[in-house]
Amino acid sequence: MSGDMFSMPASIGGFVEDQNNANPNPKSNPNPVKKKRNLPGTPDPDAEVIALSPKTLMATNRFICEICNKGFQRDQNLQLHRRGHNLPWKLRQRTNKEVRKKVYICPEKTCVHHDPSRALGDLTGIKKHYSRKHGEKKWKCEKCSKKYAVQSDWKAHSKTCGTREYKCDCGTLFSRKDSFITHRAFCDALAEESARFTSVAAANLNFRNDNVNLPHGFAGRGVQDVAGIPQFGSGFAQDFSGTPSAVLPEMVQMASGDLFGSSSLNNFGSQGHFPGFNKSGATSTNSNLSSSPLPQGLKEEGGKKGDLMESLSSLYSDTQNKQSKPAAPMSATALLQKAAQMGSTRSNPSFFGNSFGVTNSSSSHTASLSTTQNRNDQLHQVYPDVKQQENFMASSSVSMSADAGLGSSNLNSMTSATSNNLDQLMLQTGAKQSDPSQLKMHPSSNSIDRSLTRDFLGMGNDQSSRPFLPQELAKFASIGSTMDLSQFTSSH
Amino acid sequence: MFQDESSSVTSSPLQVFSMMSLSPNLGSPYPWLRELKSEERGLYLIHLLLTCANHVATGSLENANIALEQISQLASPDGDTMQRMAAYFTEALADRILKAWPGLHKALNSTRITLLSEEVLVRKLFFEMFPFLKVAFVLTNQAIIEAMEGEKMVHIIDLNAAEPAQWIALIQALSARPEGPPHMRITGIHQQKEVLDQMAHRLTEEAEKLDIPFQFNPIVSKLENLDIEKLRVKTGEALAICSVLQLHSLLASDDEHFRKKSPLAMKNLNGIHLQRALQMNQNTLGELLEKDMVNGYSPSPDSASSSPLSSTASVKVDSFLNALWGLSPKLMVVTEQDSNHNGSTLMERLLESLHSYAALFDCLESTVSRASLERLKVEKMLFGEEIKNIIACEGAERKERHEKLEKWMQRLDLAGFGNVPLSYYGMLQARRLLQGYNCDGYKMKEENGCVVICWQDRPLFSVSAWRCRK
Repeated sequence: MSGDMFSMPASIGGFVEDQNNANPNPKSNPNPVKKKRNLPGTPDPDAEVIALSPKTLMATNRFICEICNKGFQRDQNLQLHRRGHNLPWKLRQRTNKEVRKKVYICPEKTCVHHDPSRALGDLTGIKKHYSRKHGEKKWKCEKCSKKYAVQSDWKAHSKTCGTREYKCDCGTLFSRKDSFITHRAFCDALAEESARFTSVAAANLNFRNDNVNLPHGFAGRGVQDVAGIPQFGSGFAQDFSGTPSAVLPEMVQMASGDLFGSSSLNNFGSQGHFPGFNKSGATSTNSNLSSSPLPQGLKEEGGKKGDLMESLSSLYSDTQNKQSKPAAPMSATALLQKAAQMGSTRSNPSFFGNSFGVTNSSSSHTASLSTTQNRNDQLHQVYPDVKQQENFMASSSVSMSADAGLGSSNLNSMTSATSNNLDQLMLQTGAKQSDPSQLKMHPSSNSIDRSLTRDFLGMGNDQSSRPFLPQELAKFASIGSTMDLSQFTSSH
Repeated sequence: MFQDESSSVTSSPLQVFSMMSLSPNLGSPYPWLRELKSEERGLYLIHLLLTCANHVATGSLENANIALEQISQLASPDGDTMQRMAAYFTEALADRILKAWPGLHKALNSTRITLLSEEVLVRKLFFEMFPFLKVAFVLTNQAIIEAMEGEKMVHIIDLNAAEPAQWIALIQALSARPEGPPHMRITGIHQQKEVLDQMAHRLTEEAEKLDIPFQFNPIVSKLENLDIEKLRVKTGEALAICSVLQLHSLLASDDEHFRKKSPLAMKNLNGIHLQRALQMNQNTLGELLEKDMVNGYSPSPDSASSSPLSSTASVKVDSFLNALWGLSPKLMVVTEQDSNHNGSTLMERLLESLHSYAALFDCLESTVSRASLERLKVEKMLFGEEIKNIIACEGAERKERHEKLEKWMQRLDLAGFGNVPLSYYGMLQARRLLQGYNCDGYKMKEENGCVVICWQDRPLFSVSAWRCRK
């Protein structure tokens, strides 16, 4: 080594000035060697402590040829180069006597390695340390823009950048197995927590915040989780009493498990529902991870208990889904389904235009008949069991009520059939069933109409709250429209 | 006429009822109606709606009028779900009837004021009160983030740039990505300049905050008149297209509109149509088109096609999709309604839309109070208008041509796009968002890599991602 270093046995205390040394470099470090006990892992106590200046550490070519100013990293290389200039050269040989071990300290005063007892044993090591910690990062990875001060670090990173092997379900990539495992343990929990707490308002979800949290979390999650395990545990403590101590050991256990994937999934999947939270887990295929919040699962130890919870919760959600609230007014969806079901109690064919064609004015009677027939051809293709148009027409025109004239009975039967048809149509649209297309006899329908009328009148008089049977309801509705028609025409 | 029948009617036992009911002098002509419970009233409303629609479909306007009268006794925009729905559906049916007198219709609608602020408000309310748009945005943004991994220049085309929240979230997400933010360009298309100005302001503000190179290009245009050149897609930039509830309006076509003709003439035309249907069946355009053609040959007076339905009606949307394909986008995310409201007959559309809008109205009923003015506005100005368009309009006027997801998938496939399954992480985010709504009626399911958002069992909206398939 050239003479710009200041060497001192590490164990010798006292302050030694550096003026005595020949020092080509202007800046040389004074070395306040402190008398300290060695810590484990620290350098050999008999080693020579060498303090190099920052410039020295960062210098790449310290040996300059005086002729052409070419720089060399090693003196030997410079000497060989001098031969080319026909200058006197001398290769120094390794000293024969036992070489004293040298350790190096970092010139940066605030650095840990500035202390001789924490000196680093390798010149290359101290150089790299100084660059990494206190130097400028000049090397940048092309793929991920990560910056490095030391070229070898940069090279090593470039080789592995983008070739990460582990990918969490949430999309974060990891090159290391341990960080991956730890992240996975907290991944869903973290995101669920953030999602729940950022989207507190029921109707007015702040979409912006929610979306910001999640992608940010996604981007930085790989780093955050590994570092933040203790914080995570404490965070839990704040929000869910009684869990923290149980959380960490369990998580650590899970992390170290071999079958991590399956066990963690079991745990997540076996969580019970937070009451009031989403119950769509039962219906979605990704129910395990998405539907269940973490905390309850963490409270549970075994998978069995969790499975029971899950099945209970899925039951709960199913009943929620299928039942309409009995006390509250029926939703429109439920009403439509019910109306469609009502049609299934009928057995009339489901062409609806027919009767209406008949109710048109007589001048267009035949024309509308033909159009409805044609339309029913088309409907036939869509609703396969539409048949027997002519039969229906014939039977309906034949069927007459005993007390009503031809016209009104036609109207009655037509419109009652109409209501049946409409219900049929609704049924087919909603439930896509093919229904038996048997024809009801119309005289009977008329009598039912009459009886329904009586029922209706009875209800009007008694003010009874007897609920309508579905059939009756539809029928009297049809009668109502029938009556409207006749009323309309009678007023004209 | 009915004269013959009316005389015989009076002798029937039903006469008593008739005297009770329709006399206008009795004040409330339907005393028994008041005694109906909500459920029965709802069922009755459904029946009346169908009856009325049938009358309208067959042209028996007098009967339709009677049915409308009855419904008006029961329906109300601030009643329960079924009452509200009935109110809007009957308005749509009445509008349809009125269109038979174009002069009358125009005169009645001539003084209507449409406030831009109200339109903007209603759009905002739809965004806030329902999770659909938010889920669509979350899925879209996640798909874009994943597709643009490693891209330095990103260009996004928004076919309906109305909600800045979506792109603000994307800007924030892209700025946080490990490789640093890309150079971002967003081209927004909208019919109203003020909306684009507001969007430009919000987005550039956000980008400046995060110090991202960003550019917003507004294009004031209708989607069907869009000039692809204006989009200025540059080589070397990664392009993503986002379409939220826009493509279905391109299915509107004039050829489908069938003016009322005499029944005899229609009968003749039917024969011609059927022949052409058979010919068209030879086409290799696929089962989709065949089925459309079958449906399209309905000879009902109110809607039918005078030419093969699919091949002309889908020209506009196909050429638009082809133009988009020609831009070689790296990703296109399509959000559409997942309902069949494009049936060729009124009754088909009515039945389908009854189910779909019942679900939407139920959403509101479960989450918002009946007294809410916002709810009323959304129901009236958004759903009511859509219903009116579906029911009352035909041909090029009928823009709300919602179709099922599988039809869109076939259409996009034909246009040269390949499906990109939505990522697990995107769906996870979307599910959490739905959970945050604290309403367990909202459900989300995956279907062939696409996401369908449902209310209970009824699918309502679908989100799918596509790439350019060479």
